[in-house]
Amino acid sequence: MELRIDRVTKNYGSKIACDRLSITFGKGVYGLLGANGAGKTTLMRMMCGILNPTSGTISYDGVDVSCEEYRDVLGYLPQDFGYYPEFTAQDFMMYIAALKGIPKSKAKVKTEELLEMVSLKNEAKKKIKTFSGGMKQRLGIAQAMLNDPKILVLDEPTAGLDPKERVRFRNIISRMGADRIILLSTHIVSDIEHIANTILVMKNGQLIHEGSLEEIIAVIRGKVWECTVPQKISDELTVKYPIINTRNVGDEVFLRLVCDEKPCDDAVNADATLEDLYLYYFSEEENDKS
Amino acid sequence: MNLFFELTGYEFKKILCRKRTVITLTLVVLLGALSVFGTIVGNYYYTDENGNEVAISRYDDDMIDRQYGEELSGRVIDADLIMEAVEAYRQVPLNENSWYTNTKEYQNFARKYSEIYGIVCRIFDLDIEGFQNLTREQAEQFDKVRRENREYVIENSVISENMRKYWQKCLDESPETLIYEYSGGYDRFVTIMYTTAIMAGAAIAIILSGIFSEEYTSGADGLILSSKHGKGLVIGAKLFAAFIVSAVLIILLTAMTYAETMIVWGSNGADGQLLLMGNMYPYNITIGQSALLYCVSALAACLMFAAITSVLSAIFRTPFSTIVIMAILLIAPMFLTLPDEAPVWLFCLENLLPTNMMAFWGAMYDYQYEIFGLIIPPYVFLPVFAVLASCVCVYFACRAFRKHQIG
Amino acid sequence: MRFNLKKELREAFTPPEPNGRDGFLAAIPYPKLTYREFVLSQICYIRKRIWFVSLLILLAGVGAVYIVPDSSMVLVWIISALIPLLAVLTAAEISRSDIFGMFEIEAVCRFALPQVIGARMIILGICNFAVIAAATAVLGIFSPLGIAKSALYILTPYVSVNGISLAIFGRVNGQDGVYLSVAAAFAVSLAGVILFGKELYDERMTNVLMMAVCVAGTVLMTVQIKKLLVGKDNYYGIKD
Repeated sequence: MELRIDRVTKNYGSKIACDRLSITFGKGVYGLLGANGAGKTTLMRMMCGILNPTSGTISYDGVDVSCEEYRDVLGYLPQDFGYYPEFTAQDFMMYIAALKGIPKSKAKVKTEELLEMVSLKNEAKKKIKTFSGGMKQRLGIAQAMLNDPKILVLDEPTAGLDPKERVRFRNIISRMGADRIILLSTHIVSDIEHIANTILVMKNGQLIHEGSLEEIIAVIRGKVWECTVPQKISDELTVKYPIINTRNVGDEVFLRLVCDEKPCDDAVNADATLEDLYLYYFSEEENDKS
Repeated sequence: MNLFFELTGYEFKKILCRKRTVITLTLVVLLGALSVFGTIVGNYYYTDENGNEVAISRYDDDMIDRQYGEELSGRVIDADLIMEAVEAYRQVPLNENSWYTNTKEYQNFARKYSEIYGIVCRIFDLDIEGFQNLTREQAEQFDKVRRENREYVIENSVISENMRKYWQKCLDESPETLIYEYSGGYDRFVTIMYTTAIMAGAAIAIILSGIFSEEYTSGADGLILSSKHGKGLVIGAKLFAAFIVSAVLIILLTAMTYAETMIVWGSNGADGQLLLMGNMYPYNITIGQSALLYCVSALAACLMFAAITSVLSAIFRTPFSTIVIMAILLIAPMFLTLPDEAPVWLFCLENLLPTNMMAFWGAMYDYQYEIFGLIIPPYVFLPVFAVLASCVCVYFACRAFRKHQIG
Repeated sequence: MRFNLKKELREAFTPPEPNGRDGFLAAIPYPKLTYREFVLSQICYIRKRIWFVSLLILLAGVGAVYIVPDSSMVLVWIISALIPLLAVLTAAEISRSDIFGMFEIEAVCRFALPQVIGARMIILGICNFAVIAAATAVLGIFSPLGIAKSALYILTPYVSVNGISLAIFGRVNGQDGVYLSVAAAFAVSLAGVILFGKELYDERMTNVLMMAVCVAGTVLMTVQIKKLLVGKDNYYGIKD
């Protein structure tokens, strides 16, 4: 089981959305991190065959992304997806099942099972237009799993889910990752932290990091600092370094920041997290832009 | 007040700075121009006595009519003129196998009097043969018979006493004699104006069907309704902008149609009596006045159309339903034909539909509206009704938008 | 004796929990739908409004024949005014993935978007062909137009509205596209009523113009259908 992305590039006119990406996915959960416009969605769409790369190839066990056999083992949850207003949750699932070539009898069983899994069994006969954002998202997750996919691509799957649902969803994904390839992108860093075996960090269409949580965090280990300083110094530090957290403590300000050397005398080293890394990289980008 | 106009400015921008508005307006203006010139492009075809098909340019044909009409303009339709026409028509041979207008005798002698022929035949209820046999004694009775016909209608129509008195008053005040005036320009104007007004109505429906519902579909409704003036000034500004756009559109199209028809067929005939356009019109107004009153009626109809579009747009969540309903409202009355034996009030009611209000015959309909004993001619009643109906629509549009629930 | 042994064994030992049963069941291959079966399965997903309007056109034709037998041109106006509605609904049905933002989900399924659209086209094509053929026959028989002109008067609004609507749906996403295409259908419907309702224009010239519009509409429709079936990159409004 191997999904190979080989020197894939995607250009929109002069803008490069993905720049010579080469990744090989095996079984497991992959978390894709990146700021808005980093090229995550473009990469996912190319992996699903709905965008053609400008150059490069994508294949699963030698089967090209454009083949029906590829789509037969693919499950995809787009970032934004619509629905037909007259459809109930069950209609929607049965319709997608038909598109996935699943016979009606099997589709019925699978629909029931998946709706139960995403806690929508009681809402199966309700129209999707009456659903909340979270319910719609859960339905999206369920449809992606209809064909028991070997490759599951989830673009912002936890957006709109309440904390309880998010935890439940994370557990499901972790379980499923044992025997398939799952790629998920999200801005909720803690989700990736909890379930991804491998984390991919994208910036400006390029893959800048790939590795386990420990390997990724190693980049900023020893560079995360916490200090409580007067307002004036806080202002100075804010300009100089990427700030991860700030909080007023009496007349002073508590800061958590990332920098190579000790930012002030009172600063103490803190344990680095994935969120620190994310903010470190992407606030740097903001600073570059400004 | 300044704020209101500022908000109206944004609404204008929302309506006008859109591709679909630009496309629609361009198409309507283009079609408006083509609908006039289209009528003089191409040919009329007829079969001559030898069975050959002959084509004559529509423009040339119309210009011949114009020339003949202008030659007769200003002449009283009296026995002399009628007999002149009869003499000319007597030269036309009648043949069962061929339509008399196809003969060269008709073209050379009778055609010049075709308008007189039409008016006289309507009064005496004659066909071509009857007209050829018309005597001078009969011709001298033209005005008398015309009056008697009208009196017969007044006496025998199932109408209220008030209306009967009104009709009689109109008849008493009408001139004793008819003076022929060529009014080809006005004839074409009121005919083509119907098409123009319908096109304006369609454009209004397309442009304005999203005036409220697009706020719903775009998700801006929450922002607007939660703002300070969202349930007041903004609605006013929207409706004001809608009415201004509609009014400007129909005025522009009317002016364009008027200018084109006058250029092609001439602007003569404005002072001619309305009776010349149809012997049943009871109103003592000139053709020019009737055209003006009709334009006011068409303008009011378009504004009413805009008001109905706005109220539907406020009620429905998408422009789709609005546009479909407005299309039906505009097109269906064209297919609707009431049977002749239907009561008069039903015809009067039918004329209140915006589509019929846009027609000359709607504004000049020979039956009037009676409100509390007061007789109001349709060219007055229709615009007043349209304004009142628009006010009701405005009220419901405001109410619907204010009560709109986000979701 | 044997039966007793089985029973006693069952009572004596607790059977182990099934291990990997779900995985085993999931791994059992099952026959997937063929494309023919898939097309048939899509019939029930075609919206009722299509069937309703198709029926309405047929009923309007038949009704008009009986109600207004002596004014047969009314029949032409009614049918040609309704045809754009069928055309725009058909185009909307074909492009509904785009209108409702379902294209991404549908594009990655085993039957990809062009195949889904193809299935819809097959179903709607058969339905529309039946309606157009029936309407042409009704007009050909009961109106003074004859079969050839009837076909022209029906096909012209159909292909032009269908072509324009498909082009609009290909470029304008969501409800905006619906708005524009309905407006186009409205305009074509109105143009038909004006052209056929009044004898203001040269009929021969009108027919030539209609033929030109019919050819242009057919070309436009074919180009749009080709684009949809080829599933050109980015055609479905997918952008990063």
